[in-house]
Amino acid sequence: MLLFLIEGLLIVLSIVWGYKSVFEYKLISSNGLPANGFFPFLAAMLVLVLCVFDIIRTIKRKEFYKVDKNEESDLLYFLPVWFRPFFVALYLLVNVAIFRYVGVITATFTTCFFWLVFISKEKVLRSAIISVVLSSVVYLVFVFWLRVSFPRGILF
Amino acid sequence: MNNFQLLLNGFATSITPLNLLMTLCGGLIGILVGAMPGIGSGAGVSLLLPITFKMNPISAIIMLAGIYYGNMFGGAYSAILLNIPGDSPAVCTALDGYPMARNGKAGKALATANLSSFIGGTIGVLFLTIAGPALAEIGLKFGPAEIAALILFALTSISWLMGDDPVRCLISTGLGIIAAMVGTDPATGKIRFAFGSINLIAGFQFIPLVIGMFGFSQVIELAVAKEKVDTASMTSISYKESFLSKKEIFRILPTAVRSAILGNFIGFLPGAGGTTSAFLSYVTEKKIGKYKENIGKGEMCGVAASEAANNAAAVGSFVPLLGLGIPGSSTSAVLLGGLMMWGLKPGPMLYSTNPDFVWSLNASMYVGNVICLIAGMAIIPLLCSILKVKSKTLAPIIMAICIVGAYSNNYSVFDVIVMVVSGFVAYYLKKCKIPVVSFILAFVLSPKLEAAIRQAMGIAHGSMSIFVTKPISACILALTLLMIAYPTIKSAVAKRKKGN
Repeated sequence: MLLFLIEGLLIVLSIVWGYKSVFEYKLISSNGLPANGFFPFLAAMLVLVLCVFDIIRTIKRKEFYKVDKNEESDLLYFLPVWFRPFFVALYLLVNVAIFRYVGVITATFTTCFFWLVFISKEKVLRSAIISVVLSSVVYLVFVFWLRVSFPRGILF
Repeated sequence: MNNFQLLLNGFATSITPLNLLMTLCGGLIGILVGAMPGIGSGAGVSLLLPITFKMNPISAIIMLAGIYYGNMFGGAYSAILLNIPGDSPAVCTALDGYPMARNGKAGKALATANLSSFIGGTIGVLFLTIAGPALAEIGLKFGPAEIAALILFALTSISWLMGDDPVRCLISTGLGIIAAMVGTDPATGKIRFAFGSINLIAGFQFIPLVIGMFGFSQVIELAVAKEKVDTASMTSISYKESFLSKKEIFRILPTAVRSAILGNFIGFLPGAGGTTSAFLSYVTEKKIGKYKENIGKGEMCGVAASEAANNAAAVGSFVPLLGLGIPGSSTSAVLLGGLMMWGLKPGPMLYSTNPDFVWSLNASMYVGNVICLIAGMAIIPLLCSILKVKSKTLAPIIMAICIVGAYSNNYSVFDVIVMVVSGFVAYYLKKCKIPVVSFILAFVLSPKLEAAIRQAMGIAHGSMSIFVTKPISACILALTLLMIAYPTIKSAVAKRKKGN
């Protein structure tokens, strides 16, 4: 089902790209040369045709992807399997929000520390040491050496 | 100035204290990243790409190249000690390396892997020194039609050489082109597929995209997939156990040289990379090697074949990258993005416009291979303890680096969001067995392809016949078509044989 969902989305994407290429950007310009939509149209048609072909082929061969329970981690055991990748992305996005308001060093520390303590179940002291070392490396390399202008927060 | 003098100048640049330090750092980071199961050279190079922003291009590429070939050295450690290849090119190393470790010869297996990687790398650099400028000279004769045909060949051959499923590889290629089309068209200045977003006017930025696809997708995998590392069987290894006798060196030498030459030629092909070369060399050794009956049962030559080939392939992929501007692997595609970021134009002109850059990189690889050999042997005990770090501990560290790295690109939170989304997309593509490598290659090469097609058709007054009337372009396109048709022909022949 996952393959059908992903390839279905790709088909929708390629239709949008194909439509915009033909009607908005045009395929051939007035002087007979490829216009802005020519190349994206070719790529969109390639994806469209191959996705349809792959879906038909998969149905014919009955090669459906099945989740092997033995392959699943016990790290995020408290969440449904389908939601686990979303949780990781959500965790990161929350930390990006923290990063904007409290600054890079604090955010790096919290990103690392809370994951280690609550998800990886590492010891608090070990988690704190790893997080402090990581934050220091980020500070030295990106703030001190490379002078990247991160959002300024409560610490740095 | 001839090439030999330029190479000597390159040596002078590469052994300056800063560049030596960069080579050492790159090599060490590469070995460490390679040794960690599941983190490939692509992730290593892309995560570290942002820290090269303020460096001069020579030092930056020296470090990143060091990570790439250091990674090939490092991949053997977890393959031998844990039976888990650090990266896919080390899969064959585990077949003989792990049985050797189980028989109490872990030190010998690691030494064999290190020495073979060194031989492979050195032969690869020798080939780069000779073939790189020669290929660039041929490349100078290429017009837009030939360049377009060559890029098409690269994008198609990756689908064929990746092996598993050419259709899904081509879907990924198409998707990479679609993603690359977002933003301002460099030829006409028209904004395409931005959907009214100011952030998309410049298109998707390469660095956040690549960090997401290699780094963040890895974090999701580390968090979601089962921990495969069983460190219980790992024992510490002393230096004494890690040296090879003269007899052992002569035992592996012919295998290492043979596999290095084979691996180097395979590395030259776009998309083939270390994994294909390691497999082919291993199979060759199993068929024609002097100790073929022992292969798969803990034979040093098995380790040597795989390691020499994958390192030679890694260096081999620099030949088309520097000579033609066509990356030979996903990691070299990331490096190509880096070169463009530093304002360099990889391709035939690079040898004439930036000889210092090319020859310093070339020379640094000779030095880097020696450094990796020494460092690889010196840090065996340290690596044994680092390998005990579990992936669940690594996940948040990589995640934090992903955020900081993506933000550093443009000081923009939008880039961090691009990183997250691309990581997410890459994770699900991999789940559907759609390879991400083709996506990256297409993303990097398609602006070049579009420009070349436009120029060629402009020369031919809008006619596409230019691609078939020019002999080189016609030959390359014929080869491309043959590659596309090959799997169909193969299965038809197999069906007919079955029918008979």
